[in-house]
Amino acid sequence: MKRTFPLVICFGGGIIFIIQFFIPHPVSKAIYDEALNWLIIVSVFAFAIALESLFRVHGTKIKRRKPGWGFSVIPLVACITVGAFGIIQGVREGTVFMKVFHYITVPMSATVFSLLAFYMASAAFRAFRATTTRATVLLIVAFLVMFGRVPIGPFVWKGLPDIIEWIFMYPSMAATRGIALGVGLGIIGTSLKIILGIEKGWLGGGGK
Amino acid sequence: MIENKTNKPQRDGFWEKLSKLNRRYIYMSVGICVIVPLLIRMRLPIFITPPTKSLYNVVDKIPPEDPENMLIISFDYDPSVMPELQPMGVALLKHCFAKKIRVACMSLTVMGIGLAEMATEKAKEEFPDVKYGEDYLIFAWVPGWSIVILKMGENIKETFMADYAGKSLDEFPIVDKIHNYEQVPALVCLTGSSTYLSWITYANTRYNETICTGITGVIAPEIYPWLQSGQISGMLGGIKGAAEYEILLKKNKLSKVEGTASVAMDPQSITHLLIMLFIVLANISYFVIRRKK
Repeated sequence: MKRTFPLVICFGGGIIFIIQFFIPHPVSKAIYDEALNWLIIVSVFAFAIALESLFRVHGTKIKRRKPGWGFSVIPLVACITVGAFGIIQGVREGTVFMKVFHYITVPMSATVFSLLAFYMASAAFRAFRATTTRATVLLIVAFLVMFGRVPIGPFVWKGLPDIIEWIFMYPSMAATRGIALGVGLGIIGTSLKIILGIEKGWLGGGGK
Repeated sequence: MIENKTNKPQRDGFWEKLSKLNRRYIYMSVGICVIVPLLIRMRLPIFITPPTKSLYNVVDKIPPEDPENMLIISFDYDPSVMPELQPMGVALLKHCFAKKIRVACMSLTVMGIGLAEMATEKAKEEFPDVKYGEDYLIFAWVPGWSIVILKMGENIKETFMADYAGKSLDEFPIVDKIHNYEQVPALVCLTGSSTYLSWITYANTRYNETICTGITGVIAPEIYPWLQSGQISGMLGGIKGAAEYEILLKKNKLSKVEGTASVAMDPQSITHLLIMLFIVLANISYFVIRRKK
């Protein structure tokens, strides 16, 4: 029952909403609208599960005094205090919640991501070598795009943006479109396998 | 140290030393190349690319002060990509405020709401007369991702129900006559991930909504197939795209203040040149060392 019931819901829901898409009747639209409301409500439970997981993982680490348990205290304290302030004061400008967001979350996230520029420069220096013909082509294209995408490129040579646009519009787009079509077909195949109950990995237990 | 043909150890030459360059020197050079151009401005001319021009035209054509027309900007990103995407949001908001186009901000990610609020505050510095609830609005965050996009196609007010601070949408006149995508001539999705695909799949394909996007530089090439097919009507690619939009606003006398993206163009130009120089030096060193061996 634990496995059959979700499979039946998945099969029924999948088939009903494939058919519903082609029927513009008010009853069909009403069913669709109601289903959307349900799905938003179901999405909320994903956050409840995430919270439960956060507290379980870090709580266990703290309880068993595992190495680095002190770091686990930080997310739990942050989650409880910021959450409490958000619930009590709200999230308007000037509240503690927004101050934490503006002066802690935003600068910390932006700083960590900005370090990428330094790592990329170092990685480019160590790894970007014209060892083969393909690597050389990649190197030349990367050079053109790097130079042409910033103002100094067109400043040096006005024709550069046209070349960059051509690279994006033809060779790059052909490759991207090929990948997108492959991904699209893969999504259709996997969706059908899930609806028809062939793919059961989403039920947990590795699809057994 | 490398060994020569007689197997005698030889002192490292310039190229050998260069190939083993300590990464701290690279980091330091990048740091200098970012900071110095911020202090000494070069003000290089910024070339406007066609996708930016298209997005500008889409926004510009929205009827101003029309209660039945509203632009929606979806701030679908986290603070990590904020340096690239936030200037786009600010520039778009300034465009709307200057032309009195009604605009609503939303987000499919939790933190995007805070960033939307920051962007509106920044844009308001130049347009202090705009009023919350009349000229612009920030919708509440609703979980569900693609479901939110689909639900907006049926009923926008029912999807969000409240603004970001929890006030009922019935209290805001800006959304009085907004029902679904039919009253939203365009929606701009600002993202550093594949969120734009959800907007194309669910809002454009199913509801024929005009979708534009502002995207981080690394993802920008992925957008071109959708631009060519018309499923995306305009794009801002990376901080350069944001700078182009700021230039368009200035050219059309819609904004007088220089935006942060335009300021960031000089450091980006110099840093790109530095990385190119590093790659050239690394390749010369690689070939010189290979020939010696």
